[in-house]
Order: sequence, then structure tokens, then C-alpha cells
Amino acid sequence: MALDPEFKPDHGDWYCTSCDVPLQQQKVQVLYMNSAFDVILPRCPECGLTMIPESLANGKMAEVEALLEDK
Amino acid sequence: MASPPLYDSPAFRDIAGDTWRPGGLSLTQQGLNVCAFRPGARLLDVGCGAGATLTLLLEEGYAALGLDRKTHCPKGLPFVQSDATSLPFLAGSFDGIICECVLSLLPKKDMVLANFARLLKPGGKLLLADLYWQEGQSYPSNDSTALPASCFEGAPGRGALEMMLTRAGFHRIIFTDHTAALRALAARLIWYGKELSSLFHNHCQLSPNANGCSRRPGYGLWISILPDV
Amino acid sequence: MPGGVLKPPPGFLAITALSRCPLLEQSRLRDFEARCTQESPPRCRLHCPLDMDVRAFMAAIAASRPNEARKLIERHLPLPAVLCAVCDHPCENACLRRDLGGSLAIAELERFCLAHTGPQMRILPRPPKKQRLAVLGAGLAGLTVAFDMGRKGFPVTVFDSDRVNPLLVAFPQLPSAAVEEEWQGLVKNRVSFKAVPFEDEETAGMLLTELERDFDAVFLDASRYAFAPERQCLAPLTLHWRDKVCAGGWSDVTPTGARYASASRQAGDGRLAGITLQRIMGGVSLDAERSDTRDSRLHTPLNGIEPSPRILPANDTYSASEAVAEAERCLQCACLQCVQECVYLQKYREFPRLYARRLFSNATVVKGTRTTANVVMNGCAMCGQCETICPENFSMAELCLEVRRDAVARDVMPDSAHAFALEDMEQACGPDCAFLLQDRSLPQGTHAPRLFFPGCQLAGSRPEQVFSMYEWLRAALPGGLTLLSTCCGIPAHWAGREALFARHAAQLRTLWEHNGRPEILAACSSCMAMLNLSLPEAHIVSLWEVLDGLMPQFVHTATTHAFPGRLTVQDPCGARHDPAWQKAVRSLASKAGVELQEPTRSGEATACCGYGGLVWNAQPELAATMTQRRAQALGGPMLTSCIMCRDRFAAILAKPEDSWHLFDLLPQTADLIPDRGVSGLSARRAGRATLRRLALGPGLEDDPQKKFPLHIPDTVLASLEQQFILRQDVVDAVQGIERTGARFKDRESGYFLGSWRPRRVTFWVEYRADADGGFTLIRAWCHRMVVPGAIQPSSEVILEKRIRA
Repeated sequence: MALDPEFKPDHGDWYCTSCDVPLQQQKVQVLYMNSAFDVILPRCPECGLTMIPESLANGKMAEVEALLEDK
Repeated sequence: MASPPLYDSPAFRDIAGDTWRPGGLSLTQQGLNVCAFRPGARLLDVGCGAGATLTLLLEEGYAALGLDRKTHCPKGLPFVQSDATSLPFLAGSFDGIICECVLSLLPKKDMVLANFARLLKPGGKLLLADLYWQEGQSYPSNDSTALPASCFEGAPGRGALEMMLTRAGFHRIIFTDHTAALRALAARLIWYGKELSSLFHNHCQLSPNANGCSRRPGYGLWISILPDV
Repeated sequence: MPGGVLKPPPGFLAITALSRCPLLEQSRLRDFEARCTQESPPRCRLHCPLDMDVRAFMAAIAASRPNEARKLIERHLPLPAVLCAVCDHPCENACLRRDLGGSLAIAELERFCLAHTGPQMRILPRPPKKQRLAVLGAGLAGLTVAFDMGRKGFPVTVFDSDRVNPLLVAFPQLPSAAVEEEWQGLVKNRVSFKAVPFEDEETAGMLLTELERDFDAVFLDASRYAFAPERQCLAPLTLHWRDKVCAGGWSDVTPTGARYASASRQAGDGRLAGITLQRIMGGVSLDAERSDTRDSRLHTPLNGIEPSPRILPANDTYSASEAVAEAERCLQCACLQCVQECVYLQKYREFPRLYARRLFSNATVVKGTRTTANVVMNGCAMCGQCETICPENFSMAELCLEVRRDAVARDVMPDSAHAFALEDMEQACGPDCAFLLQDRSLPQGTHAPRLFFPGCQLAGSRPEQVFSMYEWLRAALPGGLTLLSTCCGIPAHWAGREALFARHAAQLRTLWEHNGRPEILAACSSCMAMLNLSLPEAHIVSLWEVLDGLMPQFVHTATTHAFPGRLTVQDPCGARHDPAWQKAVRSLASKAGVELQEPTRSGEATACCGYGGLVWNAQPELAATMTQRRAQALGGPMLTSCIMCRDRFAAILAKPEDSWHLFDLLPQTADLIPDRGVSGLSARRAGRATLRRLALGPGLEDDPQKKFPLHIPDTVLASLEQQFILRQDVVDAVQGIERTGARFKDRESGYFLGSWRPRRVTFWVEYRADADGGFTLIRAWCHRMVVPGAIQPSSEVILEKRIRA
């Protein structure tokens, strides 16, 4: 979907230490309380290790978590 | 209110999916299970939009007809272009009327509901799903004769709505709350659309504000039944 | 033994281990609602037969909004030009200001309002009703019936010898222009007049018979129609005489026999009779939903109000500024006593009765939670202050606890509201921290008659002091002393988790019974309340009472901190109903040589520091406001007998050492005040483990933190505290990431980044490897959403069985 939010690392030039390859922006699905959300995140193309930048965790994720929990 | 209604924005339709409302088809299905219409029942989907519910009704074997002011409904589906406030049918034409997330957009809701009752056979059922405001929280300018600019502005108070249903002649009303589905839709809007989430916030705040919260609507499903005689 | 078993104070609902909270019902709502009197009318309104909203009228005049005030007159009062000119104002007699300088000049202010404004409400004639009314007698009562019923659309015909004269005769001071003005209004509402004579009985009787035949309802104005029945003969609720006839408007007699007309009473009769006549015409019950007593319970606190005399106009009538000044004297009688004290009630700007309604309408929703429910119910500190202040003992704590339990029972309580506090409780009861130390000096198999229960917060914050006090007590008390360090379970209680609390209580009971059913010395008032719930047959007493009994005057020897000469005392909210506790604290402070000052709200009326009710977890900003406000109210260095109060104040004071715990004054413990002013969440966890080590001996287990060398700079630690991330969590995370090797590295800085999900939260840690083999934490964050691949390679995605945090 054209509207999928995309998050790059907040800073730095990261690579996966196990696979020794640079990260690529890939689409993943995050899950919470019976809802699923698509997002494009930095990910290791080999092993799939996915990064959640602080700006996402403390931003949209926190907002949506609070909304769904009705906190 | 210069901005277009939320449901007209292509971005919104994209995110909400083919059913432009909380709960999607699973909520419709829940309502149908409670209504238990007989096979082949004549049903009217008021405000059928892109036809997702209409398709479901036809698949379930009902003699369903869609009605909308705009022609988003795909060709081939039984469809009538008309305004929900002046339905061109004879009294007692239908076994059931489905009205999902439409009433909040209409003025003169009491007349609309009275009209629904007129179109239903005795014992007929109205499946109504829509936004509603908690007691004491209705939108400040709730002028019932003006066309609401958005479904939030036009959403009724729950008490007021149930009184209108009773006055229209429905003698049994079954209510279930599905505000969680509204929150899930709101969450998706926040997740996917910055411009949409601010639009949402303008109408009413669905995520906590600095004070903790103020006016937030609920989303409910009302099954209203006419007396048998 | 002084104190005895403390009965749970009214704010704590007694529960049995297996009871299940019934779903909330409307009748419970009525119970709660009935206790809050804020909606009861003030005395002025209560005594007005026309139910005039005097309080709002005064507010409008005082705010220089006379048009608004005029609207109130038009809404409540019939024939305002006449009534306001002649009213005998019973409201003024009832005004509470009567004994505080002189009642408000309500009547004069109403006249002022009428003189300075024009009509505000456009009266549109209603579509005419078919039924017609007759009014016999153009007195004030009769014309009031005509006014009210005309407005509702009933055509009214007034019969009398003259239209204007009756009122002028009854009220000599009334200008005829006022009567004419009102008649113009009446005529617009289809009131017509017919001149008939009816002085003699026969004519009068024939007229009445005629009217009963020709009209659908008849009103007899007794001030004009001499043959109406006496007031005593009619039911006061309806003023119904017979069939379709009502009567009203009698004049009154003073005790000395003089006749006078009470305008308010006559108009009141007319209004009352009008309602009856309408019901007669509608064929409905005359007295359903009508009561002759109105709720007169409104409490208005009068202490601190200065008497101020009535402002008299310089000329005949009030000028605008004089009117404002007089209206400002209005007390705006309202209860709101609890709201004035409580940060939580002020935040949501509602008084308890509305809360009850709002919370119940939220809770009775069948499925799904509603918007304000969680925030409102979880913001209450459950401290019990409101019910102490409220004259009707309305308890928000009781209300919110029921609502929380109900939310838990229906599985709609959001986890994240209290998750951290509940995890903290589990840790405090867990193998790392909890322990029971039997008195080593006793022979095998004997139990000490007493048990010291410091509580998990005190153990976490002041482990050295706790142990030192334990050793001293062990020697001082005959028979020895057992030490039990665990959580009393109050987080489960506050979170509405009855089943969890019940399990907890059962565990405590097992320990208590297997250790000789000792008397329990509790250092924390919240613990005391919970222990009383869990072990109702146990003898539970406060540590402070025991110490007070054991210790005479003592010389203070503390060298760590400068000894205070004077402190303000903060009673913990849990000790609100425990005068023995409060007395012991003051006695000990005095023995220590400290002069104690009482804040305004002290003892029973003390305010919460923000720890109560788990507000610090569910709504940290609200809790912070509570702490601020209370610290301000205390107004200087403070002493408290609760470590949570002490730590929360210390966290916001410019000088944390100005916040004292009673331990800091007592010789057994005064020298063991820790260096750092405050202890945060992580430090408290470590502290409990420290106490365990002190009690059970070193080497029993390794300090888990010493095992793994992770250095956390102060700035990073502060950020962790704010996000409720524990030191242990980041240590486990770095350790785990290093073990699995699933991590990222930044080419620019050389930092590592990885994640860890030990329970329903994912922790992210950015760190670097140091030359000495240790690690330094650069930053950390967390989230609850599940992201496949965030923890480990996505080929092993763990999906939780129920995707709920």
C-alpha cells in the first residue's frame, strides 16, 4: 500500500553482525490486540532481524498502543 | 467545514478497506446472526457504498437491494440511486433494513427512522450500526435539520437515538457496543495517515490528549424490531 | 496492647477470598449518587415556590451579564414585571448570608435586572390546544395559571370584574403599567378577559357551574373568589378541589391576625395548580412524580467566610456597579468540598455524583471499554480523603475500586495501566527478594511471638535501616522476633485483581500459621490495612506504637545529616483512621527533639502523596501533580512515617534531604540514611535483594548485577526511570543479546543494538563494548507491539497465543 509508514534508523549506518550484510528497508507486519499494521523497517535480508527505531517505538507505536488499550 | 467528508477521501477508503466503517464485514455478520432473517428475505442496504455488505447479503441468499446517493456500487449488483431521506418504496416492502455508519450523516434522523419503520413489514428488523456519543457529550452544534459535515458531528447521543427508535415504533432494541472496532480503525488511521489523523483529531480526539481525554465517541450496533402487529 | 485489631476504614471494602464482584447495577449507582449532595438546590432556590435559580442569577449579575440574568428570570418566574415588583422574597429569609452580614438583596437585584434589560426570550405562540381553561379571579394566582398555561398553548379565559384592579388592590405599591405590560404578554398567548360580577354567592355559584360545563378545566383564585374552599381542605401537592377544578392564591394571616398577601405563595399556588389542571386535561395521574419535599441536604462550608454587610444603593435603585458588588457577596452555595482538596477530582472537573453516573454508564456497556472509564477510574489514589471531608461520606475510593474490579472481571482493564506495579509486586514476593527469617537465638521449633513486617517499599528503599531496626527489636522484645519481607498484596487490591490478591492472602496466611500465628508489627499503614484484610484474626499493630512504648526520651546522635529542629508532619493516607499511629509518630518525633508542625489537612484529613491507588503507574503526571501539591501544602521540610511519601517528596524537592522518614530520626537507624537522596524503581528492587542478603547471610547467592558488567550513566538511568524500564531489564537484555549474537552494529559509532522480550514488553538497548570487557548503555526504549523478527530471526517467529499485551 502506498501509505505504509516507513522508518529508517534514527541515526548511524547499521549492519547485521551475524550475517555481516547491510540492512534493507522491507515491509513487515506488527501485531497488537487483534489488529495488524504494515510498516517498512530496516531489516537484515538474510536472517530477518528487524530494527524498531526509538522514534517509532516512542511515537506511533506508543500512540496506537494507548489508543487500543483505551488507556 | 471546508474539508471533504472523511469517507470521500481516497486515502481513508484505502485504509478502511472496502467497508468504510469500523468492524468491517464481521460486525455486519454478527448483526445478521442476531436478526436471523429467513432465507430469501427482502433486505435493503441503505447507504451501500462500494457494495461490500450488499455482496455479503446476496451471498447469504437474501433478496437484497442496495441504495446510495452516489454510484460507487459495482455494476451488476441490484442498486437504486436515491437519497436515504426519501426512500422510494411502498410501505411494508422489506423484511429488514441494514444501515451502517450512515445515520450519523443524515439530518432529521427521527424522520429517517420513522421512514424505515414504515418500509418494514410487521416484525421487521432494522440493523443499525453507527457512532454515538456518550451521555452529556454530544457535539455542541447538533442542529438536527442541517446536513452534518461529518459522521462525528452528526452522531447522536445513545439515549436520544434509542428514544427516536422507540418513537418510530420499534418496540424491542438490542444494543451491543463495538467501540473497540472504532478504536482499531482509528489506530489504523493514525498508523497510516498523518494528514488523516489530524483530520480525525479535529473532529474528535480518539487518542489521549493532554488532559487524559475529553469527547470520544463510541460505536454501537442496534437491532431494532417492529411489533408483529 | 494499645491499638488492637484495626477495623478496615470505610474506604476499604472487605472481601472474602473467593467472592466475585457482581456486575455493577443501577441500584448501586443510585446508592452512590444519593450520597453526593452537590446537585441539591441551595437554600434560596429551595424556599422559592417558583424554583428560581437564584445562584445562577447572582453569578450572571456579578459577571456583568444582566441579559443572562434576565433569561433566568424569564425562564422561572411568571409575570416578571408584576412579581418582581411585589414579591415577598422568602429566598432572602433563607439566604445563608443572613448571618454573615445580611442576606443578598435578591428582590432588589431582580428589579435592577428588569430595569436594565429588555426581554431576552422571544415567546413564540404555540399551536393552540383544543382544551380550554377558565380562571375565576384575576389575582396573582389566577394570572399565573393564565401565564403558564397560555405559554403551553391552552386558550385561557380570565373572569373578573376588572382586568387590572385586582392586582392593584392586592399590592398597592404595584404600578399599573407593570400590570398592563404583563397583560400584553398574556393576550399574545391567547389569554382573553371577560368582565363578570361575582360578589354574591348565588351569582358566583351559577358562574362556576357554567364554567364547569363549558370549559375543560377551571381555576379559582381565592383572593378574588370568596367562595373557594379553604387551603386546609385541599391536598397541598395538587390543590385539587373536585372534578376539573383547582383553587389557590389565598391570602395569609399573621400570628397577630393581620391579613397579607404573599406574592410568592400566590404565584406558587398558580404554578402548582396549573400543572394539576394540565394533568386533569391530559387524563393522567395528578400526583405521580411530584413530591412535596425537595432535597435540602446541600452542605455549604461556611468556615473562613468573612461577614460582609449588604450593599445598599445610594439612590432608590441599584446602579450597575452597586448591583455587581452586591451580587458578588453571593456564596454560590455548593458543596464541592472534596473537589477543592483533591487533585484527581479537579483534573476531571466533576463532582462525585457525576463521576458515579459516568463511571456506571461506562461500566454497564456490554462489550468494549469506553473512553473516559479507564482514565477516570485509574486516576483515583484511593486515599479516602474525600469521604472524610464529605458530610455524606461519599467515597471515590469505594466507587473506583468497584469499577476497577468490574473491569477486571469483564476482562476490559488495560494491562498497561498497572502492569509495572504488579510485576514489581511479583518480584518483591519472588525468590530473589522475599524471605522469612526466624529468630536464630530461639531453640529449634519455637516461634517468636511477634513478627516484623517492614513492607516491600521500605525494604527496597532502606534495607540497612530495616535490618538494623530488626536486630534492635529482636533484643528489646521478650521472646524474640521473626522478620518477614514480602509484599502485602496492595498492588493487586488497588488494581482490582481480587483473585490475585486472594492467592496472595492465602500465601501470607500459610506463613503466618506455620510460624506460630505471631503478632505483626507493621511499618507501613497500607500494609496494615491489607494484612487486616488477609488475616483478620491476627493481632496487627504499628511499629511506631511499639517503639513509642519501648523508648524513652533519647539523645539524637545522627552524624550523616544535619538534624532538623522543626518539621511538618505528613500522615500517610493509610493511617488516616489510625489515631494510635498518628499519636505514636508525634510522640517519637518529640522524644527525638523535633518540633512538629501540623499542616492544614492532617490526621484524618491528610492528602495522598501520589503513591496511592497505583496512580503513579497508570497516570504518572497526575501523581506528580498530587506530590507537588502536597509538598506545597506542607510548606517546608517534612517528616513522614511512610517511605513512599518520603521518597516522592524527596524526588521533587530542591534539597532531597529535607524529606525525612521517621527512621532517619531514631537512634537505631538514623546513621544509616543512604547517600543518595532518592531511590528509584531499579534501586528499590536491588534494595530488597540487599535486605535478603543482610538477613540470610552473604554468599547465599550472587548479586545478579555484579555478574554482568553493564555501566549505566546517570542521564541514561533517568531516562530508564521515566519509561519504567528497570536496570535488571537492560542488564538481561544486553546479556541475552551478547549470548545469541542477534544484534546490529553501527559503522559510525561502533555501538551495538538489539532487543529482548522477557515478558509482554520488548526492550531495545543501544550499547557499546568497553575496553575492560564491560559494556556501557547508551540508550534504551521499549514497546509492547509484537514485531516478528525483532527479537530473533524471523524464521522462529513467536506468536503469543492471545495477541494482547
